[in-house]
Amino acid sequence: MAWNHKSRVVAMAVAIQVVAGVFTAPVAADIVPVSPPTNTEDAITTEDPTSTGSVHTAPRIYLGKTASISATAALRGPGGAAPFVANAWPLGRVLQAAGFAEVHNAAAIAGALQAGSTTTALKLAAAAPATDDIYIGFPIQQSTIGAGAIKGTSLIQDYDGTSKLATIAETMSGAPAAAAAYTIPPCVVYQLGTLSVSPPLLSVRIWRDKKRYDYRDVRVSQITFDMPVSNEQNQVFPSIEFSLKGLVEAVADDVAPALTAAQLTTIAPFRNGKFTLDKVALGHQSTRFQMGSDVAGASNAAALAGQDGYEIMSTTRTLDMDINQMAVTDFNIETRVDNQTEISQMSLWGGAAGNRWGFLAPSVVLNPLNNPGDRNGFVNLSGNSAFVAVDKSATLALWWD
Amino acid sequence: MSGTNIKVNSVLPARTATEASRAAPISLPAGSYDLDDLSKAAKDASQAKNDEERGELHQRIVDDLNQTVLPTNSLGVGPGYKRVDVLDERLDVTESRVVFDPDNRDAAEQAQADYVAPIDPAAVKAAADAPTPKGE
Repeated sequence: MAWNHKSRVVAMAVAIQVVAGVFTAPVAADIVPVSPPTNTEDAITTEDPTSTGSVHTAPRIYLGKTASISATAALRGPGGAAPFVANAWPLGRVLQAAGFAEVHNAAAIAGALQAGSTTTALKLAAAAPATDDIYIGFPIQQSTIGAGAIKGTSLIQDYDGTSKLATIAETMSGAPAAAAAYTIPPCVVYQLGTLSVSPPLLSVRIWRDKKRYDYRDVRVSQITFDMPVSNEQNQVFPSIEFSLKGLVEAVADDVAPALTAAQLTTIAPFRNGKFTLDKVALGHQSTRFQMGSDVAGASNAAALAGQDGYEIMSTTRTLDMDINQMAVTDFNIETRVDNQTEISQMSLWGGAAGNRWGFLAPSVVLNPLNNPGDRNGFVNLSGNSAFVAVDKSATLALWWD
Repeated sequence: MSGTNIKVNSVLPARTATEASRAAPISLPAGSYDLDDLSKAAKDASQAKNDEERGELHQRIVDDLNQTVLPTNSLGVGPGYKRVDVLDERLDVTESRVVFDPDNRDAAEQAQADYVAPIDPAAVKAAADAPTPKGE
């Protein structure tokens, strides 16, 4: 007998489940590196009102159980020389299950700008896509933006398929000239869709030392991109927190697999990067994009559980920010709040290829953010913003050049 | 502050309703897509005769290019069952009905085998009421 199961010895693997109700077994290659998760069983019960002939109530009626899982995955890119193939990045499967479309650009798209760029928009080549918004959240590199793999990159917040104008989420010092080169690097971009069509289901395995818990029909009930700046006062790193809801498939004795070095890639701290609000570079400490989902299953007497698989019924999206107080002449928050001006928020950071990150909320309106507080002795402003865009309302990019 | 003055957020050039329609965005359901395939298919869709045809092409793009399998069975169809179109001759209507799929009997049997039925209530009560010898 082994009762000495160790709580630090944990692994979690995620697979896309093809058929509702049928577990798709994840393997060691499907591991998502996470800090020790929580996985709990939630009993479904109802009160039994039958009198017991005494003052004591009858035991509740047991109707079954569901499961809840939550975990935090540090944002560590897969690295390598080129983007991974479709569905190959396990954490990306969680993003897909939350409603994100994973769009792959396998090879760099190099082009020459047409005449007509501005300080906030690049007029891409005539051969650029004819479809609006297709590039939202995509990284783009142009010498006027800056130098280097992060500083020389910006994110596209709007794309006009007719004029080929790609509006970026920052301000350049001048309008780039016609014929100047630009590049959309090899990348994978996650674009949050409308969730009008049910996203993929997940099958999840959690090993706790010598025991394994399997879950199927798993839906994402909450996902958070936590993007704090890493510094002396804030010794933290970017991560994705997620909560899941599903059904218990099995609990069995099985030894936890050790993670490989390829799975434990370097975590890129958020520094030497960019933070912009309405295309203005500002000092800040953190941003948190959160999406909470209500999940439920439709009643169905023919189903084993009396209900169909879980569906995402509604979501709530928020973007919390903790920014440094700045002069009115540097950034006029009041005017933007009063006018409820649609603005973008971009965060960029990273390290080596395949570990470079860009978050974009292309269209939000500020809730009052002029609430001064104290952060390590400096005046900060904390608050949040409301999402205006419905489709492609939040994106996460990962690029390789 | 620097003395350089530049303009930002210039108004984008206006476009006609036809141009806007041809460039209509495509909403991607969750899944995995290749940008090159998407761009080419979307360019073809932009040349469609009208919005209706463009809408059909957009739907085909989404259906054909998604490399992630979206879950089947999620609309009231359990393992071993399928949906078929049924013509009710009395009502003269065609309905999509859930029926047993004999070709998928294994899945149905497996699902039944996996079903955790409530335990026998008599067994629980008998155990609870059994007298326990003193000292045990």
